[in-house]
Amino acid sequence: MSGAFYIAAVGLDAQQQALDAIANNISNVSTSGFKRSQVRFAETLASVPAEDFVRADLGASASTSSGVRPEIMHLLNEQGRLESTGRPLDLAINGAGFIELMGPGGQTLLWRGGALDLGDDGKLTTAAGLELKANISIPADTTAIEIGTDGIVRARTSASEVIEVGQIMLVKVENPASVELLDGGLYRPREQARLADAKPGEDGAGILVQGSIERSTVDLNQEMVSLLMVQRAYAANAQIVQAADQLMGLANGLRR
Amino acid sequence: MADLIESARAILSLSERRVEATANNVANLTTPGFKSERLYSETSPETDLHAPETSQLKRLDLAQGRLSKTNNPLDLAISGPGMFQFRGVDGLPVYSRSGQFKLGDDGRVVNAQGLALQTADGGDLILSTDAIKVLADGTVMEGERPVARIGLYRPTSGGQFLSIGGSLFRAPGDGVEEVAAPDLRQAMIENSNVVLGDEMVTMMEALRTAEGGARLVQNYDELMGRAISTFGQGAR
Repeated sequence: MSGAFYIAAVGLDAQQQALDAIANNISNVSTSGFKRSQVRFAETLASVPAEDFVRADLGASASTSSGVRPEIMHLLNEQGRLESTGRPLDLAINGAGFIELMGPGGQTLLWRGGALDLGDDGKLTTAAGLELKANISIPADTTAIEIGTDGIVRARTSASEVIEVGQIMLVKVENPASVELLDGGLYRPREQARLADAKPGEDGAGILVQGSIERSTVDLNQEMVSLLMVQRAYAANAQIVQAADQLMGLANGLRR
Repeated sequence: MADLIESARAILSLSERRVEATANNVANLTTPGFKSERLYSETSPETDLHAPETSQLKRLDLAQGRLSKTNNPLDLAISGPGMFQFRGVDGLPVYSRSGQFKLGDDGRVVNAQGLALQTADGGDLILSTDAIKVLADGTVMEGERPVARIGLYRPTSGGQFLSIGGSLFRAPGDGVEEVAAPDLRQAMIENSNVVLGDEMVTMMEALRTAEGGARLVQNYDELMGRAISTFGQGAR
């Protein structure tokens, strides 16, 4: 049986996955805090004969190549452009750090910043209602909130006092592959993930920027070029399937 | 006459292998560091009647692929000669030009197939962060501190790497030496050197050759049929 069928089918599948990743990137081109993902391809080898690769005499040994394997990588440490919004509760990180959030089940979630909100009990939450792990309560009579580049949150009360209510800390993810992407710009560290606590401004964790949001890291030009490439590669693989089919047809037609 | 059918069989099987090799090249059209494979056939020196007429050889086109920018600090492209060294599953080193790396669970730098990248001093390259800088000579800097050097290797004195697939190689018998003046480019990848047009032409050619082989079999079959019926009549 011709291996070309399978190899081409694997190729079609790989390009399909690449297309999915590109589609996801493009659809999030204006999502704040979004980190683009990249598809990586690697050749797959079915069986590696123990020795003698010099002249792969294909009559004697089976072909070792069996197509391609795609893998999707999230490029977490790429910095998006910061855009000033003027809204005091917008928060962006300029650097590689993440803000830790408390998930609904108490699990740790990571967040690249975005719109903050105040919960019913005065707690600082994300716009989606997830509490910050820093657990910061804003007094009820607050008129303005200031967040310093070092993460210290100050509340200006109606009595014109400025009180320090807490500090937003950052964590650094040492290996982007140990984090999985959730929706809403959230990331969940896997079990083996190593998270290093860092004060904003230290150890390359980055600083906090109030009144700004981080733009998506998707570069539309690059995605469009990849999209065309994927389309052509997909078509080429489809051609191979047809050719393999013709070959099989020939073999079947040998006996008239 | 049996030789004819043997030839036809060899033609058919060669075409099939050609299409298979093309399929693998096309599937790896977008695989970084992939080198396209070509099948050549040559007349078999054996005089054994039952041996196929041709034997097939696989050759790699080792031409440099185009470099393109990815902005990922763990993507490394080699400009010029040399290959990265990896620790193979059996402990023996394997070589590749495919330089898309990621950090493994324990901080090891691994390629997409999960093989650990080796430093010039031997041993796996282990990093604590992916925010690194790689200089053209392979020196890896974490911040301002050099932590290791990635070596590039090439076969000693005119030898050739032995290919496992289109992107993985073994050292030849003579061994390897370090490339004296390596040129690494960070945040870039070397694209596959597969040329789609060539692949399609090879595929069409293989299909037509197969058609020819099939005709040969059919003609042989027809001739045999006619011979049997003619001689059968004569004997009556």
